[in-house]
Amino acid sequence: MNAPVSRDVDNVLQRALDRERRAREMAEELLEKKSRELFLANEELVSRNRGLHQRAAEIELLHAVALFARDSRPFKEVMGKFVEAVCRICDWPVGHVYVPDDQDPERLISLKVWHIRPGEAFDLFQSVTEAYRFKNGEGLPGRVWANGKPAWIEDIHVDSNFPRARVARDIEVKAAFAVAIRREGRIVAVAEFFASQAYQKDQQMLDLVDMAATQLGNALDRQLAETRLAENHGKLEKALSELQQAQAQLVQSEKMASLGQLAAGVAHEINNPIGFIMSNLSTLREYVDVFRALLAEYKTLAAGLQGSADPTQRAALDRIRDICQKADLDYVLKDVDALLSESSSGTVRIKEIVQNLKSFARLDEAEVQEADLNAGVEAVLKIVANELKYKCELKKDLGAIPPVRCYPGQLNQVFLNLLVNAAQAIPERGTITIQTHAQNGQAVIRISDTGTGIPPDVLPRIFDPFFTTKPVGKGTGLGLSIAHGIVEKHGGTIDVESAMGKGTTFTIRLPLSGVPCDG
Amino acid sequence: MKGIVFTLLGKLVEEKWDLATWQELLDETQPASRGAYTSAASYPDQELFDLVGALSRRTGLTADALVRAFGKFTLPQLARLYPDFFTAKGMDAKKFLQSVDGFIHVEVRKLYPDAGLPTFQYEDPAPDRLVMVYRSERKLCRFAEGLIDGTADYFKTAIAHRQVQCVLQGNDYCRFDLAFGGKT
Repeated sequence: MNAPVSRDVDNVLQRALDRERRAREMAEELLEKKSRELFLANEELVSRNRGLHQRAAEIELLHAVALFARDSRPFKEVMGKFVEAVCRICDWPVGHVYVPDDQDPERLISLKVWHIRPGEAFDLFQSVTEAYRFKNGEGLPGRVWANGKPAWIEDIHVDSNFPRARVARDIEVKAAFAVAIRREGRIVAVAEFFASQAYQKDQQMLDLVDMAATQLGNALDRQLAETRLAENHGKLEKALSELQQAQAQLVQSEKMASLGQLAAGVAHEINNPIGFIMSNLSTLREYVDVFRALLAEYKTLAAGLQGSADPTQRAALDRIRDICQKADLDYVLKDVDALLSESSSGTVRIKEIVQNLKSFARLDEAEVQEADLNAGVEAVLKIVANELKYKCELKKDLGAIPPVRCYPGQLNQVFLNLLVNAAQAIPERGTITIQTHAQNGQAVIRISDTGTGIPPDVLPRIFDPFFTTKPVGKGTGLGLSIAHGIVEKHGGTIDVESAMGKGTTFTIRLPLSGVPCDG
Repeated sequence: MKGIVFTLLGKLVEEKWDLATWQELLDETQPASRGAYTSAASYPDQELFDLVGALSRRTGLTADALVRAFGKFTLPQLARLYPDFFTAKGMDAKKFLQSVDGFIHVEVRKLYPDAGLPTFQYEDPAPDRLVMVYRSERKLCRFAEGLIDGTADYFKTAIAHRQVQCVLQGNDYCRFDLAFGGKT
């Protein structure tokens, strides 16, 4: 060990103390540096954390907006959801919505949509708010309405433009902010939010809520566009179907018109020969009677000459007998009457057909007059009663119909045709119902039967001229065509519904305003 | 080198010798820090080697022996400062040594990212045996030996160990063979 001289204890201790002091200062310096670093790191963490919270709130709010704007809900309900979501995410107790007044577009009125945090009460503020109407630029909502920008008030009690605080000094809110909701560029609502304490402006929060309000507006716009699109689509579809119907009617009318012309021509052409055939037949019958009388006289004469010695006479008598035997003259004489009467009734039928064709083609026989349709139905029922009574039960339900300007005779023909058809559709026994009433400016005549029904493949063709399912000779195939033409001429419609095995219903609708002028 | 190594060395010199001796070592080596060491700061390695060299000359003990004694002295000090590493459930001498590289040094780096730490690799040939492969730029394998001695004392477990390879003999790394005996 060294000499005690250098071991000046005080000196050693003093120097150790100096060292310790320096080391301590250094340690403190280090500590401070570390503290600063920690502080800065903490600051950054806090700010990042705040950023994350902000982001999370943004996402949550936008998500909420997207969710409730997705389904079409009433505007009021959507606004309720919006203020509720903003209050929840921003943790503010009061949310409320103002909208421009429908009656007075210069004023904002309360939509009476509120969100109040459960357990809290703002009764005075709510009643003041619901009663107050804001001019453009006035108060918080008026300001947002005027410039479209979000606004923040740290304390409404010291704000110069918060009239609700003047109305009631002790309303229960302090801080406030508001944002505009736009639809198609126009402000349709101002959402305002309130807190019980005063708060400094939180720009981030304000931006967030403003963004959510913009999103909401966009979502509502989109919804509106979709609704309009759907409406237009519906309208187009309706228009298309109407067009197709009109086209079908046009085709039918065209067909009728051309067939009408054809029928008119045919009827005219046939009418003349039928006329002279009928008259000739009648003349022929007279001639036949002459021949018959003459032949009887010849027969008597021949019987007298029987046994004559004159060979010439005998030969002539033989030839006569031969002819009579060969031709079976007795039968011929009998049959000629039948032939003539069949031919006559044939021409009568042809005449009827021609008559029908003519009434189908030119429905111009009678004059237009005011008539009671029910009376027409009754008249027709009398005519067909005989035909119907054995197989049909007839049900009548005739409602009040005002007199209609029409061609009554033609309409009666329609009823007749339909009733006869109905009776023919019933194989053994059934019911025919005839029902009339006035509805929506139309007279409705409905004739139903409980018959066999019309097969679906046949149904589209029943109004076609000459279309018939009846055996040859039983129907002309013109009845329903004629009915169709008459109803159409009256500006009405005739529809058919039929179910196989259940029956058929014809519905005639005629405008109460009567036959169109050009009809 | 972290300041704690210097403060612990000062403490060792003060305890085994006295404060005046530490002062004389500082006077003799004239470190740039003027000996005002604080544990969390870092100091040049050379200051430590200078101090150990001066102590060796004063005491006549070899630097190797001094460094090993310093390691043995250091371990209980660390146990006092950082008890969590030593008192974990089921902890014993072997587990403690095995936890140095994968756990203790990992934690050290979290606090002092600039710490120049050695690395250890382990072989576990038998329950009572352990091979530790030591690599360090500072080549302080003697210090490591002292720490193993201190570990044996701390856990009251006999540990026989020897270096079969050593960086001081020109190898790339040191290899310690350890055998654990019963509780002492």
